Amino acid sequence: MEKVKRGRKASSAQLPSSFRDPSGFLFRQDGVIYRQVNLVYKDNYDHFMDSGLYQALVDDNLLIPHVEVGIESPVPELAYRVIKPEPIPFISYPYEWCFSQLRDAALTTLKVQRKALDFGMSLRDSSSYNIQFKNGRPIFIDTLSFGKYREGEPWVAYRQFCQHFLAPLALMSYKDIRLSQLLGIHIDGLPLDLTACLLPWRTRLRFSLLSHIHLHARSQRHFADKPISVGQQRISRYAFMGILNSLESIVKKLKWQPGGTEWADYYQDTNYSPQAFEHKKAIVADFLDKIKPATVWDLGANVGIFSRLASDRGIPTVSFDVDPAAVEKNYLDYVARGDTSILPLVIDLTNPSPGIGWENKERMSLKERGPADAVLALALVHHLAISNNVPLSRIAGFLSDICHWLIIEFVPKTDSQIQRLLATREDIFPDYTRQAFEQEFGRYFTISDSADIRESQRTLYLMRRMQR
Amino acid sequence: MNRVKQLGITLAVIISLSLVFSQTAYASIDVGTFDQAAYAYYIDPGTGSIIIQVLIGALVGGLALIGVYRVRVKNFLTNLFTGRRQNKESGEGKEGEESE
Repeated sequence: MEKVKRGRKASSAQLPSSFRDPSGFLFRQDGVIYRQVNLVYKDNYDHFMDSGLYQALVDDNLLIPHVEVGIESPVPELAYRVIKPEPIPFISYPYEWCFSQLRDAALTTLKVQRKALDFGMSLRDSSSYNIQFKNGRPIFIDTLSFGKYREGEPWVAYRQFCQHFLAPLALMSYKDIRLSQLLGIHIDGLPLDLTACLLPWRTRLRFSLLSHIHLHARSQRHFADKPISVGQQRISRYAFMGILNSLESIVKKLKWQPGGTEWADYYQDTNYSPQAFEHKKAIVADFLDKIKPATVWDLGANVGIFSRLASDRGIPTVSFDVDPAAVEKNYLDYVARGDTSILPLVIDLTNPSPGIGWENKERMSLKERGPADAVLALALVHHLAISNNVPLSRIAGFLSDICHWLIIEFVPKTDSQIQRLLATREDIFPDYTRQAFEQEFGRYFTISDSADIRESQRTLYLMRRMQR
Repeated sequence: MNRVKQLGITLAVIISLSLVFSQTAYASIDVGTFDQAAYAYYIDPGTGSIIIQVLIGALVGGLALIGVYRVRVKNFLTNLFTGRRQNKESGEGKEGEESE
């Protein structure tokens, strides 16, 4: 115990998200992320590598590849190996994923578990935070999640799978898509009793949901204060596979579509003429070609049409929108296209993801994951300034914190979209003018270029953040 | 066939429901005498989650097993029937060959 304490003190670069599992931890050295494999995990790690499981998972693009490195460990007395996993370009969290992203993450977890069983191992946890999106597809990132499987032993991560994946998916599918946000409050997945009481009664008529959610919740309540060892509970391989089949089947069957509308006509709500729209795309593309950013964040991306201008140029692009339906369409479209550079996420910019978990550090805030090389803020400022009453100076300040380059669209008050926003409220925004916009943004950025969009009253600006 | 399947599922649900809701079933599961040291997992698997998993596992595993045996029995009977016929045919052939 003392040894562990001393060790932890020395590991100043240990990542705050990595402390639960005694098998190892992540740390950062010279800007590179490494994972220490502790001596207590030696047998499992050796089996994982030598049995062929690691290679099989990597070959199927299910696990993040790594190399063993010889760098000095921050806690050498605990260390067995230090490995360097391939970096993930942008870390995202389950409460930022759309329905199909969470569903694909769940299916990936089950695929990993099946493969592990083929090689005599089983997942020791099934947290949704073990999945990240790389090259557009979900991938398992926790190399130390695998333990040797003993015939007859139940799946210790079953509870976690139901709480992290099945419960939110069922709620999103049967109740309301916005309930995914409960994952940001309950960091170890949704409590099943809460899920059970929120789900409609008819979900009890579906055997998988009846058993994995409703009866599971009841069983949890009944055994809440009773100790147990997993060792005495036996479950045959057939039963184990039956559980996995049942989970996979229900996850695949859960569906979500916004308000019964067809995807094709969900997003026609623009006031651009086709010429203006094409001109806007040409200007944004031209700005991107001028600055050649390393990364792009598209804020208020809608279904990601402008994000695609960046991703088509091979630029890793994160495409944020507050509307889960827009993000869902963006995700399904890029999966169908086989795009590998884009990551759509559900983010409310008026309340972006905060740092959560232990010490507010386990899961990073949106700002901590920046800055992006370039930010696209197209048809966004008026929503922040008028719908959310944020002064232009504070919008400029926030954007200067999260990017080096800014491609931003100014929409004047005479524009029909703003007139619609003001139709139901008093106009208390006398300072919302082009002059004030340029003045406030000029305090943080240098305007490098600007262009008026044809057949509209809107203007696009290319701005560079001033040196601090 | 679907009717039989539906009936089976309904029965299975009723049995599992009665198991989960009945206190005697819980009382018969001795949760206090387990070997803690052999399975040092770092997450809490949850007593209730393990118990329900064993129950659901028995049910869905049992159904899967029935499915497998149903196919095996079907194959066995088919083989038995067609095998006999084939034997008979090949036997007749052999006899013919021998007679030549």
